Parts: sequence; C-alpha cells; structure tokens
Amino acid sequence: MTRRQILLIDDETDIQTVAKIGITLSTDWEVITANSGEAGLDVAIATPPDAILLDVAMPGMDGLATLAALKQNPATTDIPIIFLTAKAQAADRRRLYEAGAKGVILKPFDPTTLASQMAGFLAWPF
Amino acid sequence: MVSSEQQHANLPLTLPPLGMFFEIAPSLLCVLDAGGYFHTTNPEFSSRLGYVLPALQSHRFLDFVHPEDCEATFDVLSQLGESAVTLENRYRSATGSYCELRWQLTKKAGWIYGAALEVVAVEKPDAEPAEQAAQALDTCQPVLASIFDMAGEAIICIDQDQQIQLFNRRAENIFGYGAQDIVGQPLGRLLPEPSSLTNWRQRDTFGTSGARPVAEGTSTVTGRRKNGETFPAVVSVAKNSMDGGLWYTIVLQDLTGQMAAAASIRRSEERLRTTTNALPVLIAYIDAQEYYRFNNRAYENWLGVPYQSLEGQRLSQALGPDIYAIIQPYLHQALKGERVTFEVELPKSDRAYRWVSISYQPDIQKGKVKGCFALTQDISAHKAADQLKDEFVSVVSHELRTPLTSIHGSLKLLTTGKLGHLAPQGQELLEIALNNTERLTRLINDVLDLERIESGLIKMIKVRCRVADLLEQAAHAMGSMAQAHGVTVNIVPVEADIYADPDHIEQTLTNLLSNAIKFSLQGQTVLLEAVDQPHQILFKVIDHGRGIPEDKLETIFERFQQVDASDTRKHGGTGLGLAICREIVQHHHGRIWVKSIHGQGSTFCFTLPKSSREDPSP
Repeated sequence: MTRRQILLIDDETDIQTVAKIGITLSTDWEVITANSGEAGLDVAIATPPDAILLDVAMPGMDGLATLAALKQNPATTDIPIIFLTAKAQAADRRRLYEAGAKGVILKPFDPTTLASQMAGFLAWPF
Repeated sequence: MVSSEQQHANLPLTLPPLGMFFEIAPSLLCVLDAGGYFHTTNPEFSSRLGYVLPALQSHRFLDFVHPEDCEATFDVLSQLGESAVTLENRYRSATGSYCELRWQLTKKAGWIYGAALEVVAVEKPDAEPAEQAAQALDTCQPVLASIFDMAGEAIICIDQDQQIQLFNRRAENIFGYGAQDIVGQPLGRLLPEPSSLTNWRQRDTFGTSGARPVAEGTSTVTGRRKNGETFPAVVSVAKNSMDGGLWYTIVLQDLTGQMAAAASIRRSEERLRTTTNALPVLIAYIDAQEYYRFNNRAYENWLGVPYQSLEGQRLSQALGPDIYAIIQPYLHQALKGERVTFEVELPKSDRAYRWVSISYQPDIQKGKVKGCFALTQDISAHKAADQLKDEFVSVVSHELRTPLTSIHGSLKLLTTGKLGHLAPQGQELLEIALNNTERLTRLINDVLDLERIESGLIKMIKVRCRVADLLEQAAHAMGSMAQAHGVTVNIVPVEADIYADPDHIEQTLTNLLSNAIKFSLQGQTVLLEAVDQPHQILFKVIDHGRGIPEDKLETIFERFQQVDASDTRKHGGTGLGLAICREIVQHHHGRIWVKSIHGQGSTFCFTLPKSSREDPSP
C-alpha cells in the first residue's frame, strides 16, 4: 500500500514543522508543505494529495478562498480538507463546515494526537 | 230731610249693600270689640292669612302682631279715636310667616274698624307679570351687584358722552383708580386711544329696543393705569339704550399676564429649539397621520433641505419612497403605542450610506397615540469602532495563538520522549513549560471568549434542545478529566426542552463540571442534575469538595476572583470560567448562583427560561 500523502498549507513555517513532526512520529504519512494558499493550490493540482490540512488565516488567499478554488477545480474537488484554525467559536467552526470542510482542528493543536484526529475526520483506519 | 251723605253715615254696618262690599273687598277687613278681640273678618282676611273666623273670635288683634311691632300697634290702638290712623306692622298668618300690612284703623261706637293692604307679600301667586318682573329685578339686584364686584374682568359702564358711570373692583385693581376717583371722568383716562372704541360706536347702526344690547364688538386696545403704565387688553363692548340715553358696558381683560406667559412659552420654545438645533442627533415629532410637526437643524444636514421646510410634510414625501419603505414598519409599530429602537443603514443627501440608530417613543395622551418622538443618531463611527474591535480581537486571537501553537506543539513533542530523553530535571522543566503554555492558552481563550460575549460579538443562537442531551454531552466532554482525577460524574436528567444556544450552555456546564472535578477528592462523586420548574429549568452541579467560604460566595463570579489565589497554579484555572458562565446565563435571561458550606462541598445552580424569548443584545 502506498503511503498516504498529506498537503499541509500554512504560512507559519514553525507550525508546519511541529505538525509535520507530530504526524510523521505517529504515522507513515508523507507530509508535503506549502506556505500560502496560492502555492498550496498549485501543489494540489500538480500532485493531488489524499487530504489537505489547511490554515484559515493566511495573507493573500486565505483558507476559505483556497478551499473554494480547490472545490472548483475538477482535479482537486474531491480532496478532503481539514481546517486548522485559531478561531475557537462554534459559529466560526460551523461556517467552515458549511464551506465544505471534513473537519476542523483548533490551534493550538496537540501534535501528538494530530494524526489520530485527522484520521477520525477522514474515517481512515488509525 | 237728610242728605244722602248723612244717610250713608248713619246707616248701620249690617246694611245689605255695604255687607256685600265687605264680602268682596280685596283688602283685609276686620272689626274688633273694645277689648281688641276679633268680632268679624272678611273672606279676603281669611284667605290671605289662613284663619277662619270662629277660631279668631277668641283672639285679640294684637296676638298676631310681630313681637317687635306689638308696642307700636298697642299704642295706636289704645289711642285710637274716630279719625283714621295709618299703621304698618308685620302680621302673622296661619302658616307662621309674617305679612307686612299697612292698616287704616278707626274707632267708632266702641268698635274698632281695620282695613289693610299688604306691603310686601310673602307669596303672591297671582301678581301681575310686570310686578313679577319688578320683583325678579329686585331679587336679581344683589346678585348682579355681587357679579359686578366679583367679576374677573374689569367692567366699566359709560354714558353716551364717554363719561365713566360704573367701575367695578377688578377695574380698580387693573387701573389703580378707586371707583370714587374715576366715576364721572372721561373714558380716555383709561383707554388713551378712544379711537379704538369709536370703531364700534360707528358700527352701531342698529335701532334701539329696550334694555337689550343693540351693538357689540370686541377689540384689542391699550389701557393706561393710574401710574401711567400702559398695558395690552382686550375689550368687549355692549351698548344699551336706557331711559332714552345710551349706556355702554365695557368688559376689559388685562392681557399683561397672558402676554408674559406667551412670551415665556416663546422663550422656552426658542431655548428648546436652540438646544435641539445644537445637537448632532436628528430630533423630530411625527403626528399620528405621519406628518412632521417638529424637526431640528440636524435634518438639514441629513436631507439637504432647510429643516423648517420639513414641518407639515408627510414622512413619505420628506424622506422619499426608499427610506420611507425601510422605516415604515417601525413607525407603524410606534404609532400603535410601542416604543421602537432599530439600527439601519440609510443614504444621506450626499448618497453615502450611514448607519443610524432610530428610536420612536410614542406620545400617548389619555390612552390615545397622538404621534411619536423620533430620535435618529448616526452610529457609523460606533459601528466602525465595533468592527475595528472585532477585527482586533480576531487578529489578537490569531497572533497570540500562532506562536503558542508552535511552542506548545514543540514542547508536547519533546515530552513524548520519541525525540530522545532528557535528564529527570530537564524532563521536569519541560513539563513545567508545557503546563504553563497550556495555562496561557486557556487564559487567552477565556479572555477572548469573555470579551466577545460581553461586547455582544458572540450572539447566542437559541434553538430548541433536549435538557438531557445537554447534560450528557457536558459529562461526556469532561469524561477524561473526571477519569484522570478519579472522580465519578453522575447525571440526573429531566425530560424537558428549552430554547438555548447548545454550544454555550455546554460550555457553561463543562466549566462548572471542570471546577467540581478539580476540587473533588479522588473517589468522590459529582452530580449533574436538571430540575423541571414551572417556567424554567434549574441546572445543578453538586460536588463534595472543599466548598467556598461565605465571604466569597458573592464575588466568585467576578473575574479573577478565586477562592484561593494559588488556585490558578494548583488547579490550572484562569479565574475567568465563572465570569464566562455568568455572561452566558445572563444572555439567556437566566440566573446563576452558588450554595456552599465551607468544607462540605458546593452546589452551583443556574436557571434557563423555557420560553423562546429573543436575545435583546445586538
């Protein structure tokens, strides 16, 4: 079985690193990173991942705009998206789900359980 | 041969023709014996005084004379001779009232003859109309005199030469003259411009008839007081023709007080207008037919037309169809008697849209809505500030959490030991760093939560929810914490529904549960209970922990008011949890409180109404 590929889009490289270490310590998933919505979109179109972990608040194309662009492109429309957000309010979370998210993980997240949380949302065996 | 005169004189009284006169005479006639006792009376005597003859015959004439007149009557009677004497006295009738009688008395051959006419009749039902009118006038005279004196207006009567003839008390007060000083003086002394009165004199083209006014008029004049001061007055004039001469009655009202009151009202209106014009808010009065009746100057800036031009205009016309369509439903509500406040974005005269807060306060008089007071305030700056604050909270929330995510994540990964092991002291320091990062995260979350709830940025979205579900979800969320503390959470649910924001009620319940678990000892039980009450659901979180001292029961819901200052360190609390709970409960129109016996545990209670009342917060 091929390794699952995760695309992590976040403008904070520190967070990218923490999340990547957290996931790779507990799984064999491959984590590809992108620093912006625009960059992430290009990567996703070029090599569609199994799932995308997407930050909401980013300069330029933010998380919701990136999601919309991904959903509009036939090549990426079916890729499940999990948001990473610092907005803890229920209304904020609801808005993200309504936009088409598979799951929402709040910042600060626990990197040791990040992969298991994602697997829960994606209904992947863990 | 004796003359007929002599014959008549010699005729005895009982002669038939004279006896008939005695029967029909309209006067009261009586014959008394020498002792003054009644012998005979005529029918008029009986009918007027009400006595029958047999009853009178045992009485003396003097018996019915008024006590005060007795002595004079006795004197006349005792000295009576053959020449007739006139006497007036008051004579008692059978009803007890007195008639004033004028007697002609004479004595002849031992008999006393009396004939009387009434001077003033107590009752005179068959009096002639002219006589009645004269009597009525007599009765009215004192009444008229009293009206003349007591009247609130000056009453001045002048003759045709404009000489003052009558001057009442009020006229004395107004003009400062005594009646005795001014009567006989020309009217010009009081009204320096008699030309104003010549107008009504010239108007007099009516004929004269009796004492009724034959010309009338009302005009405004200037009066002059004795001290030379002039004053505004209004006069009514009636002209009467009496005894061939003309008689003018002038009723004059001093307008000095009224003018002063009117000037005072005008000044007060001017002050009100100056004040309202100086205010930056739009102030108006709208009548029940939706016409502007008052607008302040601020309208000029908003609508771009002179504000005075709006008064008397219909709102639909003054504001235009677009704005009117927006405000119409609220205005209708206000004109039905409800107080209405709403926020809306409206275009100004420069077409730029501004946020305004509009309040309509109905003007209810005697149960009827006469109109409403309208207050419109430009809240665009406030709205912009709100938006800025919202953005600030959002940015802070993000900017604080982002570095925390990296710190927390890194520490968390290090503590797993999967990246290599540290010496025990190093591991301990790592744990301290992690715990405090988590505490900082909670604190940031709570501060932002509280701020957003208090400022109304977070709206409670109330939906129908099962109370039992709320309890179970809260208990489930706290399951791992309870397990870690060795505490059991038991639920006593109730089958009922409420309208509430489930996320926030769950947050309240988990906050309370988290406290209860933290302060319980290992092995103890925490009870989560709901009680169905008539109009509300009572939620209880009961623990058997250390409890709260009495002096802290009131302040425990304030920010950073923990039982023990070391609690934040020992138990990892932020000191904001209960403040957040209180905000959430109050936003649901509920109440929160705590009962506790220090050392025996605490019971945190809150109520939520069952009804779906709307949240009033914006």
